[in-house]
Amino acid sequence: MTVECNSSATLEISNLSIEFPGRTGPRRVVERMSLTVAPGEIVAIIGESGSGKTLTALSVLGLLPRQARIRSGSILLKGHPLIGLTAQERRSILGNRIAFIPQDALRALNPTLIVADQVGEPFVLHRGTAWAAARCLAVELLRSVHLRDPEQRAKEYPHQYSGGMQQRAMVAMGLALEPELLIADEPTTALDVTVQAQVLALLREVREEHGTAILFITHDLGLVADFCDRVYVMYAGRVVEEGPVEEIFVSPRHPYTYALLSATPSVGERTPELLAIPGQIPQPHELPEGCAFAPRCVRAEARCSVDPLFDTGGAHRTRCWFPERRS
Amino acid sequence: MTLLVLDDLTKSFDTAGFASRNPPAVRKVTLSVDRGGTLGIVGESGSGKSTLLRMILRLVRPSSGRILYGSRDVWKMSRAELRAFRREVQAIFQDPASSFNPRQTIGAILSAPLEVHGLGDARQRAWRVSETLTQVGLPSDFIRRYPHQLSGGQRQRVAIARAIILRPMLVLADEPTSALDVSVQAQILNLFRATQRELGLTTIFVSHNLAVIRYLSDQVAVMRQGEIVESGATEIVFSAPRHPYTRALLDAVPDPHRRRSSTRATHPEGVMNA
Repeated sequence: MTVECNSSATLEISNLSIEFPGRTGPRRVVERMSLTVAPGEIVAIIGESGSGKTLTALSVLGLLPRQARIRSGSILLKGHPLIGLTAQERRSILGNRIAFIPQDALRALNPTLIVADQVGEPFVLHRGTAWAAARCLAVELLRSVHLRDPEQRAKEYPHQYSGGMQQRAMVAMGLALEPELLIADEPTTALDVTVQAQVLALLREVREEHGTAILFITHDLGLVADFCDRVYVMYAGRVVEEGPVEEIFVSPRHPYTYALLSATPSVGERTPELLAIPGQIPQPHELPEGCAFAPRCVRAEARCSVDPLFDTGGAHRTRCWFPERRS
Repeated sequence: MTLLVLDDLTKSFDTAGFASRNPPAVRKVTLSVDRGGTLGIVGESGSGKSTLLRMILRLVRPSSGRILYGSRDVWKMSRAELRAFRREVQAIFQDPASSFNPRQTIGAILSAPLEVHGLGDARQRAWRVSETLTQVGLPSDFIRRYPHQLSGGQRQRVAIARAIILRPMLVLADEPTSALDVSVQAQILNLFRATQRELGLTTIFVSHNLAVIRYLSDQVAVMRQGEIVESGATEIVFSAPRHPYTRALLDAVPDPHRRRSSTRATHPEGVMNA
């Protein structure tokens, strides 16, 4: 199922570590992160606040906050390194080979420009298309994301759009140049569930028609289960479990993944009692030695003060001394 | 026994000159809540669920219709009745960070309701504050802390403490856990259930999260564009929804616990192997 041959991966992150300066020394916010996304694959990074999921996405885009430092690792797009690019080289890639869909579409859109000028801009910047032609292309893109009455709507400003329409416009802009990789950071969190379902259907359609690789950042287990092929579960800056969605949701092996599922109420069936995870998510400066989840973990023992390595379980791997056995 | 009755409640936010263009935010809502019961109101943005809650809290005056608490119309209460109403009806909001005074300690925040209602002397109040903190699972030395020193989950515990410190009859909560991470949300949901049972509270929850509503409430009302499209016992509405909108809503929610074979789009083997 997973693509083992690295050269075919659209995105390949290896051993990425990111630090922020702190009063008592640098704080590791992402620790030896490795991830691949194959063409046409929808891969999720799931995590709670402080897990490092958004920083990982931003590092691919080269948009990390100024104080952040990449301490180690590499990020490859179709085998070409993305770390250490000049600003000019990066500009030629962003919006062209990599597109980004942020959480808050209204804040990402320019309120002073009509939508056609924003959706059409990638053609002008990257392909040298004339503005008039770019606006026509923008109308076609808006039509392809199922926006009703695109000719008329293209002339409107972002504030005249509903939340779902704004997110559709962002998707249209992201798809303009048929990028190889689409990074979506909580693209539907601000939307109502029925609108969310429409936007997800649209992203699925994009993947099926263009074979776009999608890296999907979320905190919503349900979204991962319904929408993604593979998932990386992050906790406090580390990947603790990775594998095909079907396997991880049916037989989670890391106690954190297991606990997350048990702590999520269900819509489809009655939940007699939620098993809450005690304690709270640690801040980067208060991370324990060894496994970061140990203080909240029911299985933790003395051994957990040493950081576990990934097991060699093939596609479904976990980083735990006492993983759940397969049933 | 019925504690709260909403009788043909309507609210329009009409602006002069555009009166006819604004549909009412809440339209002809009739509902009743039993003593000790839990009602969940679910709806998407703009459905009118928060306006409904604000009307019950007496923060928004209905355009027409009545709200009966006990047997009294909340908009026709005497001063003494109102004072009792405000002691017996408490609210919990989505973001406690913005509903606490950042310059007050947790101790001051929690004893304020007692002071306002003239309950106890300083020593009794201090005792009640620390008792209530224990009840919501916080150490009593939290009285000296400030809201910004607490995590999101701890702040929501304080919000629950503030709501129950007066031993209320009715607690209204507007999206009480939507700002929390999953691992913390479960703690707060369980705390809610436990306090509700221990104190015999009547509660009304408003949320867009159907799973949370299903977990917490025994009655549910589904709102859409100001109207209640379906209501009834939670288990019945969730397992056999009758209104197409309820069905659409339930289908649209991704659920990690649901079998995915039927709902999920076909797996694009061709693309994967390419």
